Amino acid sequence: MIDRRDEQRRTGTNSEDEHSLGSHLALIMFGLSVGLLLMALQLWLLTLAFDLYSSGERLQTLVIACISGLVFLGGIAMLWLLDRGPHIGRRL
Amino acid sequence: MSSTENDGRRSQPRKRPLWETQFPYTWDADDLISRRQMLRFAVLASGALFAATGVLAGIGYVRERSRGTRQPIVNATDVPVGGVHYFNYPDEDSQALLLHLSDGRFVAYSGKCTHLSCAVYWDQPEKRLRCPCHNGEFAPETGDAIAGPPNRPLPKIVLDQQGGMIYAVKEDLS
Repeated sequence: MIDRRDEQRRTGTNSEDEHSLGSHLALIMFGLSVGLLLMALQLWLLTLAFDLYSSGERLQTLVIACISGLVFLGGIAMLWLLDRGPHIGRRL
Repeated sequence: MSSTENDGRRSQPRKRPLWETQFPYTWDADDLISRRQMLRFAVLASGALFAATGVLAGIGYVRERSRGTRQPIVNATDVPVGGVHYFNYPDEDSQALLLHLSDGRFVAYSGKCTHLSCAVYWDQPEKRLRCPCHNGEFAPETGDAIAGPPNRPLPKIVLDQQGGMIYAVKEDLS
């Protein structure tokens, strides 16, 4: 009879690992989805900025640029955090 | 062949083909790299969008928002109260209109609709500036869009009156 612990040691996985891995992957996919949504928001902000620029609304165009900049800074921060943290891989 | 020779062959490291190093089998290398690369690309695109928005904001502050030079339009007595005079300003291809409002003031606007650049005309019975293409309407007092698809006001033309003559000074685009 094969001992379960031996099997886990051999494959390098256990149920806790798999659970943690699943949550991490879900978190990564969620983060990517939010990132894509924010990019769509930035694209919309750009069209809005064009419209405001054409209307001569300088201050509002600047505010829109600042919001877009904050989204970009958020992306940079996220990238920095991910590069700082450990790399999580899927084990087979 | 002896068993020792076989063992010797097995111990040599297998030379991996180039495609295998570039497109690895392992999930570790494959999945994580593509996700991170995608994130980097997304951040890069985000930066480009921010830069474009920033440039627009910058141009709004730097660029002169008026055009045209001083030129005579018409004698004030030639335009009755509630009437209109069409002229070309700031160049020969740009239509503009001068209104004599019921309160005695003169105002002038670009005759180009801010929706799709159709020619705007003065609807005297209704006392509205109208765009015939999509039924856009503008207020005669301010040039603001009040109906239809246009959102932005008509560009205002700054006027100056000396003696009986009305002069266009510049077209204010802001």
